[in-house]
Amino acid sequence: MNHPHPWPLVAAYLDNTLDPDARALFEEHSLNCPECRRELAISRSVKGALSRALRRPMPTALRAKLERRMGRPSMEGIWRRVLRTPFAWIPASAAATALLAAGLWWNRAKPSSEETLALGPLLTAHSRYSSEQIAPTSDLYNTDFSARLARFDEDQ
Amino acid sequence: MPTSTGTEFWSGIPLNPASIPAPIEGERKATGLDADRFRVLMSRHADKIHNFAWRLAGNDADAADLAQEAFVRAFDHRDQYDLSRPFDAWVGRILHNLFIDNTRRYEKKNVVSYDAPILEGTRGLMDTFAESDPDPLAHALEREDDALLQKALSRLPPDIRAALTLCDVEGRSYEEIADIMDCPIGTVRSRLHHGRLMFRRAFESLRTGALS
Repeated sequence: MNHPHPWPLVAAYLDNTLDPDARALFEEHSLNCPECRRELAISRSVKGALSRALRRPMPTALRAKLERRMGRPSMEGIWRRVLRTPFAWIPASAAATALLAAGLWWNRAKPSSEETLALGPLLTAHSRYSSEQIAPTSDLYNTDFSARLARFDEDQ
Repeated sequence: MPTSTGTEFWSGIPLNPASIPAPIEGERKATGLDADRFRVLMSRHADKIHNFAWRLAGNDADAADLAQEAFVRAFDHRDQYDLSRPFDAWVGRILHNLFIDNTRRYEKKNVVSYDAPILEGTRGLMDTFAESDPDPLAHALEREDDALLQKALSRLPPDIRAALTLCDVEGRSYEEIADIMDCPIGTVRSRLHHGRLMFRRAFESLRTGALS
C-alpha cells in the first residue's frame, strides 16, 4: 500500500455503519483504488458465505438437561444467595458456634480408650503371667503399659 | 492450531470471577432475574447461544459443554444480570469469556501457532494474508459446504473467530459485538476487516489442499 489506505473503513462500509458523508468519501476513494475494491470484494464474499452458514440449534437432550439443572439450584447458588441475604450471618454464625460447642463437648465427654480399660482382669492376667513365667522376662518388651501396671501393683 | 479434543478441552473449568460481567460501580441499575424468568429467556435464546458456542468451539461436544457452562454460570449469577441489557448478549459475553479463558489455558499447555502451515505443502496463514484476486473464490465461497467454512473459521485466532461469528453468522451490530467481546467498536471493526481477509486465505488454503 503506497498511499494512506482507509482499510478500517472497508468493514464499516460493508456493514453499513458509516454515516452518509463518510460513505460517500469511501466510495469516491474506492473508485480510484483497486486495493480497496479488492478488499471490499473479498470481505463481501466472506460475509455472504458466513451469513449462509448453517445454524446449529441446541440439541434437545442438552436443552432438557439445562432445564432440569435450572429447576434445582446448585450448592454454589444456594450459598451465594444465603450469604447475600441481609443478616444471614446471624443465624449462620449461631449455627457454626453451636456446632463448634457440640464438637468440643463431645470430645471432652468421651472417655479415652485407656481410661475405659478394665484394669482388674488385666492385672490378674499379668500377675498370673509373671508368676508362671510363661516366657522369660528378657523376652518381654518393657512398655509404658507394663510400667503403669507395675506402679498399679505397687499402689495396691 | 487450537484443536479441540472433545470434552477434555473444556473439562475442569475453574470459576473465574472475571468471566461474569459485573455491574459497573457507581451505577444503580435494576438487576436480577428469578429462576422462572431465567428459564423462559434461556429457552428463547438457547439456539442462538448454542450456535455461537458451536462456531467458536468447532464441534458438538465442546459446543455443548461451553453452552451449558455459560448458562449454568449465568443462572448462578442471575442476581447480577442488568435488566437493561439484552439477555443473549449477557450470556454471550459469559460464553465468550469462558471460551477465551479456556483457549488461553489450552494454548499455555500446548504450543499453538496461528502462523503454522495449514496443510502440508501450503503456506502459513499470515504469509498468505495479503494477497489478491477474490474472484475465483467468490463463487466457491458461495457454494462451499458448511464443514469447510467451519474449518476455515477454526483456523482463525479466537477473538477474530468470535467477531466474525457474531457479525457475519449471527448478524449482530457492532455495539452488541463490542459489548459481548468487551472491547471498543474500533477494535471490532479492525478484527472484522482482518478477520475476513484471513478467513478468505484460510479457506483458500484448505480448499486448495482438499482439491490437490
